[in-house]
Amino acid sequence: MPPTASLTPLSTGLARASAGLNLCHENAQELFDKRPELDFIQIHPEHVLQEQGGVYRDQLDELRRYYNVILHGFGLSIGSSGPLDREYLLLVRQLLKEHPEAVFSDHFSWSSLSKHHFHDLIPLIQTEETIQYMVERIEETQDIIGSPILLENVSSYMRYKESNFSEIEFINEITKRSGCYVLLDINNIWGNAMNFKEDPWTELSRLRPESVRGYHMAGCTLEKVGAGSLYIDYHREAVHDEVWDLYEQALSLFGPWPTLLEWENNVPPLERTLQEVEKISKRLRPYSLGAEQ
Amino acid sequence: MRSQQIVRLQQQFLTSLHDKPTDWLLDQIIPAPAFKDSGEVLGIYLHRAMARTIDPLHSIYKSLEWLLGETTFETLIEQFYAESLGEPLSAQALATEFVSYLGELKENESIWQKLSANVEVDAQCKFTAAQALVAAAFLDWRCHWVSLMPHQIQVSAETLHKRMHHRSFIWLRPRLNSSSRMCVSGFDLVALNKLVDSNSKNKVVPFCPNGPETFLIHADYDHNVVVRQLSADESRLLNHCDGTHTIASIAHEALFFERTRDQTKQLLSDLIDQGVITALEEKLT
Ligand SMILES: [Fe+2]
Repeated sequence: MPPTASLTPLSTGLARASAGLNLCHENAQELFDKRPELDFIQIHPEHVLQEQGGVYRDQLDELRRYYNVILHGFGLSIGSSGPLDREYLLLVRQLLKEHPEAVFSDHFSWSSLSKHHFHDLIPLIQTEETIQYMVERIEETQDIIGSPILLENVSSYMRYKESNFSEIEFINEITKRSGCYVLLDINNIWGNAMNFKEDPWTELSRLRPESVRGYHMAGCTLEKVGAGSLYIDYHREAVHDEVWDLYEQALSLFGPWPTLLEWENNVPPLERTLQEVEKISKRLRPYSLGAEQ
Repeated sequence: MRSQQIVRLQQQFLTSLHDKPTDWLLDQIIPAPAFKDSGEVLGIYLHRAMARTIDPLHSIYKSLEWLLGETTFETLIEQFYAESLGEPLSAQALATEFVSYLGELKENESIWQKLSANVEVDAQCKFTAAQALVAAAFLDWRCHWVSLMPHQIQVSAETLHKRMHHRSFIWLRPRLNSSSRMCVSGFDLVALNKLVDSNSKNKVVPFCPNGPETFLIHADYDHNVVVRQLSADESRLLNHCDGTHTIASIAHEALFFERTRDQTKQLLSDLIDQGVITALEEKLT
């Protein structure tokens, strides 16, 4: 049994060993019609903010009444030097009230500068100065929403000369000082290690075990660029076998946590994505018996 | 405290997005080994930022893209992106900025000449290709707006019909579904919408031969967006369906156009069936 067995989840409504699927425009109709068995669905507060009505919004509202949910943002831009979006965070606070089972997560990255939104998760310069800034921003966020947050490790195709912490050291320092947790994207750990010719297992094992509170599983795509090929995190295909292996290693190190299958582009019929969710459930099953709940 | 490193990184990124990559940023970046240099990886980030921002405009501005063709439309939205003062997170906000941008462009600006070159207007039509493009853009924007408005209809058509049978029904105040939009155009928006939907090869912009007409864009009971032309009777009646005019006053005014009270009542009833009128208010609100 991993040493994290005694940790309790942030949320009260979800078991540690639960498997879910992201809700997106591409799969909403099928999820709405078929209502498969899922431990939870992941919704984006941005969709609630941006779509006041319409077919997708109606389906989202109906589905969030039907399923347990977790909240995952992509627009908070916590690492931005511009002010935090208070209106957005107050919506998150409201959604957390409506969904006591939910936690809110975003990313260790930045994606906007005041009115300019880049719709991408851009890596940060990993230094002491950035760590201190991130800690302040996380505390401010947690104060407004009234709950600890989870931040997800991102895929990155570049690093910066001024960085003097590795990605994992950077994450560890931030979680230690701010009290936020890690949403561990296994595919991003694997993809970054492949792209920078590092060992994914070593990277994974350096994380503070008590900081992990959730997992993301997704598929990345090998693409040719100027001087070779690298993995790009499109979320448009099935999870690679090596990423499943790494997930099993993560489970043995950090224990089971709610795990999400992300498939957002080239979304296949629901039946296919549910097969991937079942692969998660299968790996979580040994942990769902006994003291892990 | 704001980190000077972060401020610098982000400002340099923004500058690079709208101009050419700055030397500082290129020097700062260590690309993954598969890239030939930092310019290549930065280019990917910068291109994704632009593509993801303007991409939703393709699915919103369908009529405009159909009229212009894919390549010219792409050039137009890239020019809009280069000139925009901010890139909003929400596609709706971006779509509003885009239609305002088009509406603000002066007819004599050179971009119109380039854009209009692809657009064919009927020889009988008094309006210009530039006007057709703006009409198409407004049509697209209105359809998008209607598709995203909350349209939970609180009262069913059946309930509304029952209330129309009450003896004091003439004091009720009909109201349009709040997501509906009425507009006037010299181009035939219904025909244009059909041509775009069927991706027709015929790209002559259809116009209204008897002068500008009134159109209604609304969502029906199944949430489908409907574009329809209004008759003079419908247009006069619906212009008063804002929840302030009673049926008594609407029917009275229609008498001046030789429409009996029964005819007005029938028209109201038809518009309820079509999901155009969705409320009968009792009080002035
Ligand atoms: Fe993820």
